Amino acid sequence: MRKSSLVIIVYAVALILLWVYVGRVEMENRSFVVAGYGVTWGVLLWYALRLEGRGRATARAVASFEVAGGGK
Amino acid sequence: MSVFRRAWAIVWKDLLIEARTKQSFNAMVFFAALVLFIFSFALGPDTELLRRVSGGLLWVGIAFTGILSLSRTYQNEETSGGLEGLRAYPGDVRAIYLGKLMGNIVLLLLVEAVLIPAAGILFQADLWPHALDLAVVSILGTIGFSLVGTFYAALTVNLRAREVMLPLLLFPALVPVLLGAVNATTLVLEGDPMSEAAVWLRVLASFDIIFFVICIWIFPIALEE
Amino acid sequence: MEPKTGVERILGAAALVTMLVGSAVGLFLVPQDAAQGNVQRLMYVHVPAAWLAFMAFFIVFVMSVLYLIQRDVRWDRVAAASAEIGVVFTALTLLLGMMWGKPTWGVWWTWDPRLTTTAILLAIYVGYLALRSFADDEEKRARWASIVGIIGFANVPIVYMSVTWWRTLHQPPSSPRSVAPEILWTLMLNLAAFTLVYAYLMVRRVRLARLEGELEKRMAYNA
Repeated sequence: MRKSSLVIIVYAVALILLWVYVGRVEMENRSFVVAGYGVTWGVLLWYALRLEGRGRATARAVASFEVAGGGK
Repeated sequence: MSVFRRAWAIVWKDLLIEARTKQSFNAMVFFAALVLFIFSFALGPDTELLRRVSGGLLWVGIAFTGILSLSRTYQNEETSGGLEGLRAYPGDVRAIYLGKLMGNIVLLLLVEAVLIPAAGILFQADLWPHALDLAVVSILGTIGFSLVGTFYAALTVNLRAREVMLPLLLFPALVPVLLGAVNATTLVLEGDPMSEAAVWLRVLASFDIIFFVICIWIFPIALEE
Repeated sequence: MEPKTGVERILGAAALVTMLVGSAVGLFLVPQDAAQGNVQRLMYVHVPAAWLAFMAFFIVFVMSVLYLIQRDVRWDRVAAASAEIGVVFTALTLLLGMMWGKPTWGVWWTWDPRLTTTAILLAIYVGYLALRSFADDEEKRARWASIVGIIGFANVPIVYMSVTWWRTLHQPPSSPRSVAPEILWTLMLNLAAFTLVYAYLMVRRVRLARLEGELEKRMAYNA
């Protein structure tokens, strides 16, 4: 399975578990707390994965110039 | 001293062109009045409300109008052969910045001379007793606006989508000027029982001094080929 | 951009582990705040995000100055990377600020000086990134971006002071409560975690910038 899909699944599961936990301990304002930590991890993971994707795409583009015999 | 003489030559030339064609001045005055009108419609007929926010509305009007003329700061040089013409001016490039800066300040102040009384009429605010204070705020604010505006206009003159880039870059940078000018104006109009306006005038003056130094210093780099 | 170098792997692993520990402590282990309750736990992500955003833009400033002095495009690449990551952290700071603010103050947005200055900071650096995207020539892009990076950062203290005056001219400054040591330690832990995340993202992003420079060069040769 692709790494990004694995990351997303783990993230979603962790978020669900967190939600269940804060429900169990009856944390007040739990939706805000879970949303806050969820957004933090979500944004950082998303950006890191995006970087990898952009890196792969750019590397492919650079390589395609070599194959075509151009460049340098 | 020759930097100032060259700068003065640029101002004189631009103001002469403007005086003969009146292309910018008329459009700016009309546009500014229109903006004030639209604000009045948007805020409704409550004259008390309008009077209270007149300081803010005035400066938003000035800011939008100023942006209009800023993007055309270098237009005289552009149409007659690109910024290469500007760079070919002998001597220190900073003279260009000084000249364009002074031209922008004068033009905007002239527009404000018409706009502020118009605002007084539209928003039913009695401005005459505060005329001197308003003039001081007006000058300090206009200088701040023009300092950063003239600089960023040079930076964006060769850019695609510069009509968007200039406001996008300019407005966050102008927040201290807007805050200072709006608050000082509002306080002046309210009579300023606690002399708070002095704080804001100091904000404006510091901004003006700091950015005058920075912009004049870095301008040659902005115009490098 | 694969394979990851050894440094990148270690940095990434360290970032991930400390973030996990930091969040775990912040959510489960540290006791809740006496005054604000559990919502205060958001401070452990909101404050580090704000710190790193500011740090990122400071790096942009330093790199911009270095570029203008030495004209080495490598400084500009680091600046671009830091600006992009800084925008991400700034947006995160604002979002978390709103999520903390709604249950605490009852509203999504207040014109609090720090929140307002952060929003303006976001606008300044979004403008920086937009400017970069409109310049095709590497040298011009680096030069203009450096100028905006310097002016933008120089403006931040002035903006902050103006907004603070605007909001507090009539209000006395709030007295700082003394902070319990567990709270301070948790904050430090998360600060370290976020710093590692920034470092890891920077290393990756600078590598990407170098690749993009390669691509630009090859496309220019083939044009």
